[in-house]
Amino acid sequence: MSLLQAEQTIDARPAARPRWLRWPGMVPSRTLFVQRDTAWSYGRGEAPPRTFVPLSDWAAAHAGGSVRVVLSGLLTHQLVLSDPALPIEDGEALLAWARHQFVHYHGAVAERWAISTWLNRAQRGASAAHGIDLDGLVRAAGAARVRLRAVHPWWAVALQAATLEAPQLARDSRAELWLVEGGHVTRVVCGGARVQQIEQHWLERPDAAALAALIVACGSDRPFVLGYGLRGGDTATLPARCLGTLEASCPDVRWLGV
Amino acid sequence: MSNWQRAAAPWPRPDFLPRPVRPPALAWLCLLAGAVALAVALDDWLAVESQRGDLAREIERRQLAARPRNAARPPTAEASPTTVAAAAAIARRLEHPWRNVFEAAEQRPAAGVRWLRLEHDAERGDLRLEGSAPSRDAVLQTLDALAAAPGWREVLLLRIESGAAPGLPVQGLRFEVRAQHGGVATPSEPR
Repeated sequence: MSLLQAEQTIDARPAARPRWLRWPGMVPSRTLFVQRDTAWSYGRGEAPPRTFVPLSDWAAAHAGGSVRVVLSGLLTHQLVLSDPALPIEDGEALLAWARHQFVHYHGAVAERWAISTWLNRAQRGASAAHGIDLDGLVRAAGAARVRLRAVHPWWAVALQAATLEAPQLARDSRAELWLVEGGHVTRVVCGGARVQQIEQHWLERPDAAALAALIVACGSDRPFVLGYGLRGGDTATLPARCLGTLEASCPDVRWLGV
Repeated sequence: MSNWQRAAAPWPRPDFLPRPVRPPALAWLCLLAGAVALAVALDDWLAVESQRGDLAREIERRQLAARPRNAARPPTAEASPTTVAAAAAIARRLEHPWRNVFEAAEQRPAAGVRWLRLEHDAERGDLRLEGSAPSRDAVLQTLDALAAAPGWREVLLLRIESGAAPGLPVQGLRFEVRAQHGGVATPSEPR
């Protein structure tokens, strides 16, 4: 095996026995953060992540392994059903409602989007993957014998991870988590340990000043901010509580639940 | 276990991968009800089957009881010693050289000799012949012929008498011969 091949294979442990004989813990599991054209592969106790450009290169490199996919906020749209009076009790009704809403706002193209609904106690909502061919992703994983454990939108993973460092998110009557991805911001409004609202905004410029202006414009009271891709500006002056740096080119491993 | 799984906050976990559909509670209830019904049916069937077996045995027992006592028992392979001995005796008698016996009586060495009685004991091989002859010479010839016949020994003339017996010629002689059959070893020797 050449050095090049050794570098290309991340889960380098060769499959000595067939997959179905392997103990689940024996398969090294990685987390793949997927953007529109790029993927970042995170392993536990390993930094920095490996980059895959183009995106299609990831499958071969993870052959025989187990991967959890996290979709960037730029690839998903969110809906939160905030009206408690809406009689939507089960997943099918919620899916139909979400599909109708997405088609209403985004047009007929939304009819082909993969939609994931969530019902969690009084929280009801849906995420749609609009910027990625999920079927193609699953097919590529199958062809490379990659076990896909899950495909999550980043906001859900980051909210879970951020709550470990900022318990106020689950405790306070109103708390906000802002996920910055360059010029794109996902604003998650929590209250009473429930997701109340998820909004997506675009910054005028991917810098701290534009982010500060948006925070002020939204009337947010010192939200928690985490993310990557900001260029320039002093994040220390933001009217917010920053969880880590915002200037990296990819999310910190902490915010992917690795 | 990752932080994602360890986190206690009850946040939603949307997942775009289709999860395997979990059967609804009603399905488990139906399965349970079906299993119970099956168990009850099996129990019933076992009870009925057991009762059927008991009834079949009872019917058999009563049929046996209703059959007459002296009904012919099926032949058994057992045989008492006396039965075996009797069967052996019969077999011995069947194997007796009867042909020699009757040939001894059939030969007519002298003209005018007529047999009146034949007595033979197959067990002892004893032959008694009673006949009538016209003369003493004819009697002697008959004795000689019998003695010369194979298988016969100790040919004795027991008695010879003259006299008119009912149905006999007046001038005839009545005689009785005894012979011992000793040719058992050559029962069917050709003449």
